[in-house]
Amino acid sequence: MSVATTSTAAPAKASRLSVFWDSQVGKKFVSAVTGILLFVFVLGHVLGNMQSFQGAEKFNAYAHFLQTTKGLLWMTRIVMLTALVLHATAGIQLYLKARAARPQPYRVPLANPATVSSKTMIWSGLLMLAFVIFHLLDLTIGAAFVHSGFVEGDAYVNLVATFRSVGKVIFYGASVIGLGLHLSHGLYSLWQSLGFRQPLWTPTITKAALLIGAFLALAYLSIPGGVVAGLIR
Amino acid sequence: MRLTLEIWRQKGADDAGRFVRYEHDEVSEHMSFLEMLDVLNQKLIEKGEEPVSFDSDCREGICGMCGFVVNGYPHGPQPLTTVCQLHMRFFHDGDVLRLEPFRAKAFPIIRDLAIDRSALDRIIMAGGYNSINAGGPRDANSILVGKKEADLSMDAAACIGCGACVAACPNASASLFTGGKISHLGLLPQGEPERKTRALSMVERHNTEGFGGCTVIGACAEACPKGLKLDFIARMNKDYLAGTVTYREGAAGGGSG
Repeated sequence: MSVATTSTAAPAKASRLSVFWDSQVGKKFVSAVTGILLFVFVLGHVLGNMQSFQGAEKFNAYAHFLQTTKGLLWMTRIVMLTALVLHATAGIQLYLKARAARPQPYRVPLANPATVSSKTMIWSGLLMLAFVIFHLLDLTIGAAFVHSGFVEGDAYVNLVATFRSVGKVIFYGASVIGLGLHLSHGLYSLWQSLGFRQPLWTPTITKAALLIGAFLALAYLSIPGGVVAGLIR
Repeated sequence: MRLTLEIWRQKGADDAGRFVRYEHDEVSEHMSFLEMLDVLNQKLIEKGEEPVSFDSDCREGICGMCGFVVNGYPHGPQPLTTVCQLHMRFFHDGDVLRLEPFRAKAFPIIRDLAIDRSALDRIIMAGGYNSINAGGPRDANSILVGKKEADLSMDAAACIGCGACVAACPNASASLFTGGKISHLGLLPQGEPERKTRALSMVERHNTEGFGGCTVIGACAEACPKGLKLDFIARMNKDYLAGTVTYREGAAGGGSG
């Protein structure tokens, strides 16, 4: 008896990696992994910089340590830049693809349970992207058109100067609130993108993501708060 | 009961479409939503007007043919209910109901509320089956399946392919549909051999059909008349990742020596 079977053949393409990146599932995976790396950075960044509450000497010593430990410095820079580029590219491409998937909008808005954070991922993300560029010009590079009177090597003075500017504090505040919102959805949804979601852990993960997002936003806000309150001067 | 209906009327894919208002005063609370529209259509026909086109087949909530959006809810506001099983007793005298078709690039509008959901069929054709030799009938218990796996697989298999997930999703993604199909086959021993290649093929097809991606909003699971959970999308993602990592071309000899 001859039996013809057709196998569920996967699409024949030269590179599985390019197929993976082209698929939305693959992009979300990349987004999740790079998101974890970026999260680890923003956590370390705020914890390290809260040393500004311990005074100029301690803070500048920490800044000096980071600047002079070249291996750590450049490894972090390369990994973070790569993660940021991949994360932003995946996010923007997914957003555009999703927009294209519904060219005709609903005339009556959908009654769906989307959280504010999940609906604004692209906007909180773009806000943070703009802020990161500004932040690097302001406090890492010390570009004159962003930060006049930048003192090379005195991170403490530069930090205080930045947070005495109302405009910079507003931009900073909006961005770290955006960070909190972004993380409260991102830290929850990444488990699904990685394929780990299951009923036992979902409620815990949902709450933890919200708490960590709020904690990080508050931690970041405490630094300009400290400058305004006169604890950092 | 009296109802005011604002129904999306569109002659075809090229027509711009618009809402048309109908006063409907012959609504019984015992009617299903589609029966209510049947009565409206009968009146329109008697007046010499074009009746409203809408999708409908089994009218018992199991075929997945019907579906449109009622006041922003795919299949209407009643949970776990297709629009054919939605009864008018859930509405009130004087309600204003706005009916729109499911909107997605992959679901072209045929006419009024009727849409073309063939894209979902093409996702199934890409891998939503088991390639097995049927052979003679097997003893029922020759392949053992755990109770939990069987139940979970049946939960996924409850998907009727109505497209409400796509309609509800802000990204017009069919991930819940695709994840459901991948899960219901992949959870069982019969579907296991092709689990990973199935995920690769079906996800690929999902993307080329022009659906958006999943951003874990959860609107699909809320709208699903069969109660599919987001966890099935995680399973799709997991199988897709496993498929990507372990993919290889078919063996050259096939054991021919």
